[in-house]
Amino acid sequence: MSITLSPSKAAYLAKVAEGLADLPVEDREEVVQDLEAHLAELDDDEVEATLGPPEVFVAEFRQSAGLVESETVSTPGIVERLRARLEEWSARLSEMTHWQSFRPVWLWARGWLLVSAWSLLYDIEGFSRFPIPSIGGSSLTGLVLVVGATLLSLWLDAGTQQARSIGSVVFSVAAGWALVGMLLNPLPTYAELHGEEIYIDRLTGPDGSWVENIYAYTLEGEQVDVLLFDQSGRPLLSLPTHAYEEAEFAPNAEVIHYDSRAVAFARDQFGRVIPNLYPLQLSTYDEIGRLVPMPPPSLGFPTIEEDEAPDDENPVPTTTTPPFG
Amino acid sequence: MDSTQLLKGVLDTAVLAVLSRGRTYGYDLVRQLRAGGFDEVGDASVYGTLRRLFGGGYLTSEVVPSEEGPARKYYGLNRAGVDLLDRSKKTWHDFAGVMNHLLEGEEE
Repeated sequence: MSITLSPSKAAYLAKVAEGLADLPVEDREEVVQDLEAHLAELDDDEVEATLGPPEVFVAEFRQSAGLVESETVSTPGIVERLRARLEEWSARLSEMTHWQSFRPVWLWARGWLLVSAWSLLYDIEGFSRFPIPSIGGSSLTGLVLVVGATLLSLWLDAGTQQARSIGSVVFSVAAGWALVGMLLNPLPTYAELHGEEIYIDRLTGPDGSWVENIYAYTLEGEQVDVLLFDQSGRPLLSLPTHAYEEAEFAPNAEVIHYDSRAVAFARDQFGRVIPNLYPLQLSTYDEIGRLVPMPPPSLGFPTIEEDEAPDDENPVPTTTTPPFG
Repeated sequence: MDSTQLLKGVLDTAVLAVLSRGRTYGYDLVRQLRAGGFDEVGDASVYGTLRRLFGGGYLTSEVVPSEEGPARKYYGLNRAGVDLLDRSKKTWHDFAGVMNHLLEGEEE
């Protein structure tokens, strides 16, 4: 059964609690719990007569308990008061928001966060197989590390030794930093993922004019979309550099305007520009400034009739196997 | 002489002695000490002693709901507390013997 103390007893209890504000919350709560039961045994007018004023009680308690009595026992320093207040707020917050219910999620997630941040930091393709981070190019290694880090996280939390508690706090802080870092420095750009550098010089055709767009066709004459890379895996880019920079700075822009052209870049699921997906969706402007899509080239593909055999001098390929790959 | 200083020196042993009779809570402990002759012991001193002994690992504690008011925390001796009481008894008897001997010699 729980009873409510009279106002005067409650005030006495509150003053004692305030005088012990520099103690850890648990210790202070234990003293308050003892004193609350004690006060319940006394009449209102007996309280100060037997226990003395709250300040005296606190001083006597401190001396007997072997607590270091600061010079500001009756009025704790601002640091102690602030710490006590923070601890109280933290305790109340825990009760109010059911924060503890999120605790298991955090314990399981923090291992993944640490490994993922490491992956993004040292492996440019670390997130190519989201949500499993890749370490050293291996998703299996990433998975093993995530499992290991998660087990470590749970083990640290399960212990009561001081070293484990400290380890758990350090783990949480590191994971928190990892989370903040990942939020502030999100995924690398598509170009970063697929090449250490991009071409600065524009591609030119045999006549020296710039290659603005590239069209690929199957041997049957069907136009297809392709991703173009050079022998080092660098994406082939055909537009002036500032067009790509504009696109990176305006992730939500559907059309990027540059020089006398406009381009609608393809983007991946994260909104990053895919700069080397051809053909580019290029437009130009008409006389009154409207965008006009630039059409594909007009090409005359040879058609192969079933009953027409190619002559030996001008063989027409009859296989659909591409001459590469 | 001022008995306050003497009280401080033996309060630990007195509290352990009361608890050796059985578990009890703070208010009752104070009452038993008073009944045992410790009229001048302050309630806060008893609670401070309890906290120190508990923090030192000599006591057990258990919160028990009360029909008459707030839950009471019952303290009792654990193995370390019993050992400490035994050592304190020996120290007290040795000390008391020496003092008695000195004081009796003074009277002669």
